[in-house]
Amino acid sequence: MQKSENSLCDEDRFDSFYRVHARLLRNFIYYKFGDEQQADDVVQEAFTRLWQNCAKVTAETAKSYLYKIATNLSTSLKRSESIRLKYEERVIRDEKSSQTPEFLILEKEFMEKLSRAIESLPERQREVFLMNRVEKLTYREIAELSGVSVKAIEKLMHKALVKLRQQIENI
Amino acid sequence: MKGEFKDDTFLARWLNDQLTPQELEDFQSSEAYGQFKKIVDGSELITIPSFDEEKILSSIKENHGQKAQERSPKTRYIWLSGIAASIILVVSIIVFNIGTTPEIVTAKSEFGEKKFLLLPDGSEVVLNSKSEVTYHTGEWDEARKISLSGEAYFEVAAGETFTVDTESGEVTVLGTTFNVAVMNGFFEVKCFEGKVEVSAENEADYVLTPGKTYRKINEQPATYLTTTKNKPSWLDNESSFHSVPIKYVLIALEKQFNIKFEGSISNIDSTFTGTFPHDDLDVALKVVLGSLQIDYELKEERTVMLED
Repeated sequence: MQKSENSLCDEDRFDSFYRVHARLLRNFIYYKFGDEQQADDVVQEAFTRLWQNCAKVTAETAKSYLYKIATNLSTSLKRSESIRLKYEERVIRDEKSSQTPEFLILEKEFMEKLSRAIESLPERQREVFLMNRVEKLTYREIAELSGVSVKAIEKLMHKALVKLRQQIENI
Repeated sequence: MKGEFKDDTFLARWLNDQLTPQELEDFQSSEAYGQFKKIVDGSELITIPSFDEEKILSSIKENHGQKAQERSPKTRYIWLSGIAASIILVVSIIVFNIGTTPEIVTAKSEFGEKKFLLLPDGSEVVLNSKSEVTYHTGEWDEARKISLSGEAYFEVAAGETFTVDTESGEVTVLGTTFNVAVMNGFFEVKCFEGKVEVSAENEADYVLTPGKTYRKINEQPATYLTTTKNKPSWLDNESSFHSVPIKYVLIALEKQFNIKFEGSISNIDSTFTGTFPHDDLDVALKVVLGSLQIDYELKEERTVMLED
């Protein structure tokens, strides 16, 4: 089989492709399941399969191939019982600012509520919401990864926000 | 909450700065605005565990290594010829084992399990619970042929003819995505992309186009249905049925939850239309049996008594 110039069968090319795409794929799967180990396993398996089939995919199709394999792999995984998201606590930069201890306590409370609310979102909504808010992907980019329309992503995003607000009010 | 927003993508457009100035102004003056703003700002503080990129990469490399060894038994054999005979005897048994990569590959899924499988040509198969496929690796390049019992979803890579062989009939495609379910005389093929040809005994061959479903139950004539889905619902952990005889829905429940039905149903010909989830047996039983007004009792040892 002749290798094209862009072939991922070239080890250096494969490695750099891995370094560009692995972290995002891993986070994508992590947002789905909230299980670090499972996410790492899926990444490892998906890239191993990509390597084994390197001659069949071009550099252009490799990304969607990768996400397709990862998504298919994850359909056979058990969902972990509960997802625990963490957040970064805001640092007080200016002591004279309005960030009084009370304010900070309230803020911490809010972040707890928000984390719990995101955790309880349906899988697809959580995935889209975090890919956009934390990974800063555009709707179009998310749509391409999961093979659906931009409109579908916008709907999921809207639903996620409506749901988060409801949840936070109810907590 | 209904009616609060103009449409079902409003908030997504707001985040993307796609609202008109008027829309934005109205939204900013609403009570909800502050709450949404807080949610959006707060969500940016979410962090996730760091990823050890290089560690995973070296694990992938280790897998490569194993593959390469399996594929080159010949080179190892030559290398061995220089070593004492007794050692050769022992090692060549290992080499022999490595050399005989199994001709026939069988993959099966357990109760409630789904299994993903990559075929030699890059085609993908997902097995639904309690299903099994078998194929010959040796003949794969000449004829892509795989036998199935149970249910599976196929994404076939473009290429020569690809055939799924079942007890109820044969499904032939070129490159496409489709689902095949076969159990105790029930035979159903759904086409999602491309073209799929179905041949069952005593039936004319039929070519399915996307959105079409072929169904044949025992000796009855085949029927054709239309679906709007672009993949089978069981991939999303629920099973959907459209006018399927109750008998087969019960089999699907048994395979999914590893349960056994006992007792009998007077109206065995009744059909079920609906969806049951894969993660909740109580709900699944309620949905299926409840909707058909069949009384039942879930006993210990995973037995469900039907009380009709």
